[in-house]
Amino acid sequence: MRIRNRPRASGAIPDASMSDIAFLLLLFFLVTTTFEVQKGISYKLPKKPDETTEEVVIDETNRLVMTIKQWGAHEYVVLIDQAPPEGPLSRARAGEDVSLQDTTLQNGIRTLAAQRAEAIDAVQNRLLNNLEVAKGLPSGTFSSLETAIAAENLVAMIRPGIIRTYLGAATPMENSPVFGEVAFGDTLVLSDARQGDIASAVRESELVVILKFFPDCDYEGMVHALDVLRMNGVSRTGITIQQRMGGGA
Amino acid sequence: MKFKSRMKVGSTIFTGTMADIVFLLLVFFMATTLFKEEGGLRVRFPQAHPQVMNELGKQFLTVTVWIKQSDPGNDNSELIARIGDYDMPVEQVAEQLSRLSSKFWREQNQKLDVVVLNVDTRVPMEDIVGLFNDMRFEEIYSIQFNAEDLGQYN
Repeated sequence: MRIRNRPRASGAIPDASMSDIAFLLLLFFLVTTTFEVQKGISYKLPKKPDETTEEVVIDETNRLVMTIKQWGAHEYVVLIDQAPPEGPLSRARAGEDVSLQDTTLQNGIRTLAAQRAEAIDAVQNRLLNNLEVAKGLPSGTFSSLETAIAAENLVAMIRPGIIRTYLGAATPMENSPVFGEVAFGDTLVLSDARQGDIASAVRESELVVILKFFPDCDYEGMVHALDVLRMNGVSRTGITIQQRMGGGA
Repeated sequence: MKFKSRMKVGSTIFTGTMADIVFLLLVFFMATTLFKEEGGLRVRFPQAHPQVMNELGKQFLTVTVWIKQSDPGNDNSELIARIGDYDMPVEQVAEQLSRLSSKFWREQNQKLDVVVLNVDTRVPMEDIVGLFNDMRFEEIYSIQFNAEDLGQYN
């Protein structure tokens, strides 16, 4: 009788699935890896004064001037120096400072901004200009936005702004033949199927807020102030300190 | 007489060494990949609402400027600015940006789109407004103030 050998335990580690494991790991890291993206508040300084630029005088009905000083760590207070007449905010006297986070102040700024929302034609003209710049075309290539959309085979759409959330039904709306109902703070976008977004323009406010900082106020105060203004629909701001004039947009 | 069949050429690709190749590639790239590090200064970023902040697309040509005080929080301490790997006084930043802008135009035919400011929260506004004025003089107008998403103040 033939005696069968007992099965022996193999000393080798099975490595047949090694490639599957390697591919799975590779895929996992490819899908889950995210690179840190820098984010921030964009800002445009005004052109430097020279013989070719005209001095722009901001009408007092569109001008809000606020002095900002630091009141301890991370705390900034505002004194209103000038405000549009018959608006929700008025010039304050020395000592009547309010916190930058004050709800009445922010509501007032938002109301002033909303009352001065740009006309839809102005936004569309800016959008057309942005489109020509993005496409590298000379200014005036297209006679109208409708012509440009048809010629470049673009899709027109609206990206709702945050102001709609605050103002609700009170958000100033205007009708556009291209975009439909456009609210204050909305972004008008032109895109195409291949390249995605080509050009955009926000329906801004014509309110200009001048921020006058105490010289020793921290940089954080400026970012906070810009943040508060942008959240409340103000995009045109000037930045200065009390001793000498500075930037603005 | 029995004829021996001719040797046939197999049509399958040998994949037995695939795992080794994948591992080798993985190890090679792990060993050789260098992540570009921002040679920046350690700064405390201000905070802002995510809704008002934007990300700069890769199509933008940017230069990042780092600014902080040598003794953060002490307004009498000197300001340090850094562009790339070079430290300089803050008064020279605008001039340096202008030089870089001309270099980009000369060598790559590209315009400097945005200057990204990574400024420590405690830097006094007097110096920042001074920098704005210098930048305007050099005709550099587009800025991004980098910030972190608002957390503790909302």
